[in-house]
Amino acid sequence: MTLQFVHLADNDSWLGRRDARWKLAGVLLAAVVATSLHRLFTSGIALIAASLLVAVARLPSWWLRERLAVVGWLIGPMVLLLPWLPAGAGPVWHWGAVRLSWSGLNLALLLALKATTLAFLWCALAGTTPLPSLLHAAQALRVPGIVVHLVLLTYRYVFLLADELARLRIALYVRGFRANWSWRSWRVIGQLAGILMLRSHDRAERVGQAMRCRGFDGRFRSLVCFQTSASDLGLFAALVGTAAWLWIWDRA
Amino acid sequence: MGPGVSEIDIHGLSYTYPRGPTALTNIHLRVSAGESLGLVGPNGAGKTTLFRCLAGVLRVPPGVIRVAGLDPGHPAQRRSLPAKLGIVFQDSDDQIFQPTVFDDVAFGPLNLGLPADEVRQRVEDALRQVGLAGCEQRVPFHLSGGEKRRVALAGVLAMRPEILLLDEPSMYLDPRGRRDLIRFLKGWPATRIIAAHDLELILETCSRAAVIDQGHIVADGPAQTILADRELMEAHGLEVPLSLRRS
Repeated sequence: MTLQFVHLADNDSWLGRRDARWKLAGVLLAAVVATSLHRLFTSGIALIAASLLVAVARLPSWWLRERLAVVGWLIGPMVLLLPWLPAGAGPVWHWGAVRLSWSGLNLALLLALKATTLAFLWCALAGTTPLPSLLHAAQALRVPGIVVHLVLLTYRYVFLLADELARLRIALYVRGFRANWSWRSWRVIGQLAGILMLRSHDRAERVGQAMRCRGFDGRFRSLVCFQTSASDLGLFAALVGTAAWLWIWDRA
Repeated sequence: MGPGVSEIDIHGLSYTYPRGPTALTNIHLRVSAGESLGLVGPNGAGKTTLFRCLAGVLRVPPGVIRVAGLDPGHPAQRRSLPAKLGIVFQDSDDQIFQPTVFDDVAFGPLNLGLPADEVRQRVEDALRQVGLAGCEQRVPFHLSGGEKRRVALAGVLAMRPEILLLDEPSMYLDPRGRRDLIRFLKGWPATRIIAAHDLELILETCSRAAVIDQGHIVADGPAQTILADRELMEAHGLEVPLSLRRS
């Protein structure tokens, strides 16, 4: 569980030295455009552009592989399934009862390209920017404070919830519970989810209290000082320019 | 505030949880500046509730509590409390939420609006005090229970509070960590209240002890006398510490 959130040591790449505000704004815009593309060709170009960004970020290959594996697990089943499902217009190839549709294949490829592009963009951003800087940048870009804190607390407490779940699972296991397809088993799993939610709620209350005890007043403060350089503006212009060009090309 | 002057003054505090039980009943307690009070009692006695009332986490009526000259019942004064009073919670996971140890310890000083250099200095000092110097960039969720405890303590120490409230401070600590904590508490000049089941720790770090049970303070006096009172201790679900039984 923790592997997905392993904190990378300071990234000293050219991208790592860029002002987090410009980087975040540029990557977010690029991500929005990448998701809105309709054509395979332009989505492929977007993926190439995102891979270039990852190359510039000089991220460790193991770190990148782990995150891409997660994306693979999430979208893999859909990508594999889509070409074989009944779909809209376009040619359909039959092999007995099995049929493969061009539109399904197109959709699967588009999904895979977009998801990989988004994963690359996110890795380039998260791998080169420490989380506090990223959150501070989000605040500087006028992202509502509540969203910034939600991200921060989610990041931290996802592990606690995972630990809590692991403890509950062990508690069930040592008392002889084995998950199966029975009605009772589903009921126990439902109760488990309910307990987890209740515990999370209690935890959230206590965390809020602890934050207030340390003077938290709703504003996220950081020691990070942002400074815009010509390179930051260049990076932002390159990201926005590429995104705009792809968007226009996609709709031409 | 000089020695002998009351830094914590509780006058007739009662607290009932919304739709819940009465946790504290008519508590009267005074703690002088620089004094170290051990608060002992069985589970559910009201120790944590009392701490939360003192820290302004739970709402109390105005005029009942006075902490370092501030009234937690008064909203404007409650906001100034974190600069004066630090609390270390029972479960460190409730208190650590930043992505790195440095950021977590810096959280409080930053909220006090201190300049960046001062924040860095305080973080460095606090981490050194708890024996975690060099761990600034570690990720809190990779720490052991004892290390989390130290980070939580450092986060409070970095705010340099006049008053320290510690709820079960030796929980999750191994013998060496516990010994380090005792050494640290003995050398810490601030006023402090320590709630703990670890009565040996209370005995070593507190000159005074109060027994709380079912929301009432049932005894208050020198720690050696209170903790050695077998009848009193057993009547309230406690035991005389081993070191006092031998002597």
